[in-house]
Amino acid sequence: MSKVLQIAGLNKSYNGRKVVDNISLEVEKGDIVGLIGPNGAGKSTTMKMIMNLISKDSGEIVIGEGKKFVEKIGFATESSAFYEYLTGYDNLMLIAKLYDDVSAEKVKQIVEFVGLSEHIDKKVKTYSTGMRQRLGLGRALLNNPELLILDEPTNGLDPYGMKDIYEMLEKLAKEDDVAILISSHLLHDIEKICNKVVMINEGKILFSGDISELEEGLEDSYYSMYRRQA
Amino acid sequence: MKNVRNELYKLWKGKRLGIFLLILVATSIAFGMLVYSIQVKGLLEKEDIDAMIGGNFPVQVLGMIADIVLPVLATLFVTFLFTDEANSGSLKLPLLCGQSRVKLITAKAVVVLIGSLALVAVTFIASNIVAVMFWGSDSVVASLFQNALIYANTYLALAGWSMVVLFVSIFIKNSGSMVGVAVIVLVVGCILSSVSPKIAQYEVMYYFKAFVSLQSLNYVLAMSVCIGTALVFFILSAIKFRILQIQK
Repeated sequence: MSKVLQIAGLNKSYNGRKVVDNISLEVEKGDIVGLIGPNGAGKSTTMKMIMNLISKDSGEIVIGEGKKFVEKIGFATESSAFYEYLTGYDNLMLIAKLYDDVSAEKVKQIVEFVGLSEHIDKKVKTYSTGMRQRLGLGRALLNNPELLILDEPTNGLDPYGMKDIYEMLEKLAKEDDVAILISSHLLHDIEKICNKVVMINEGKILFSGDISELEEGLEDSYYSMYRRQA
Repeated sequence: MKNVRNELYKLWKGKRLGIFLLILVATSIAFGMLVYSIQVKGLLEKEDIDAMIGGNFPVQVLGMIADIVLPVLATLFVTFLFTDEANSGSLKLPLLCGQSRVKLITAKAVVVLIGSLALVAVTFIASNIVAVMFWGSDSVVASLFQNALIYANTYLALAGWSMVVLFVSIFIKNSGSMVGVAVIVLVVGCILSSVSPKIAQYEVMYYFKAFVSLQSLNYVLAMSVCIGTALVFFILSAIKFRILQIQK
């Protein structure tokens, strides 16, 4: 299985406080890797460093093999940002135009995939949370990414909305071999779709490995804490 | 080019550009009606009236808006394209597509300059049309080239101001604060220009009205200040934006 993302020894501090402490992880094609931890654990910071939105203090991030960054990654944040005064379609087209090979037809396919056909011509400011998350996912899929990085994509969604998003992600991983790195603070959601999990707290990795080994590999107190969420 | 096209599209669809242009056209028309009624009613001395009508009208309109209105509108372009997007989190979207930070800030700068040019150009066109409507075409046509030069030079000052505002917007995260700071700086600039023109001529705000008032200017200094300010602050903006930590 080829590695799509390799992170080694990633570190980041703010005002002397370490928020990411020696994080290492790998994501292969077809993997759905859950990055789980409480609020403030360092999940979003790690993802932003992968996306080069913030600088890393040290460590290595390797994406793919020999291809340009832009061809590899789709990214969606927990509160996906849009141009609110534009329609969903306009939002997608503005991004599509920045890529070399994303046509209007492709945009329409993405709209259909994420289930927004009925609402795509409405202004984003009228969208519900679920619709915004779908649009954010659609935007992340525009360039046929080999790696999807999703920062709490089900935040604010009801159970039905979550189920839809997870079904889409499973389909992408199984049918298109897309590697997915998804962050959440809810273990029972991650367990449903991930084959691997990286659990972090206070910037440090507590566990990294197959989801089936999580119970044995994790200190009791943390495992119990997350189990109580279920 | 892709980024410039996108930024222009957003500026247009966001209705800022259209509304500002309408405001300027309405201002030209309203001012024309005011001056015409003053002329008809003989409320001012003839030489005061003559300085405001015909071929002088477009310059009067520019003089009315050059030192506060145009710079504030240019500031609003910057807050729309940069500050508001930084706050909403949409500033990073082109970066997530692999666009470089320098390309993105350059595109935003170019579109702010295009928007500001549109403001000046539409004011020029509207004020000339209003002048022709009220006072006939003879004196308007005779002054057309000179007025165009005044407008063009004033635009260079506006371009310099726009790049200063762009640089400042990287540090100030609130649109309201940005406009507030801009207005304060403009007012201070106006006071400085009146109190000490010798010092003021080294800052770009002096030239908002310096060309309009037709005073004898050191054009080499004026061009150096306006274009130099624009270049320096654009370069500073690009340097700062390259290393900016984008948290949202």
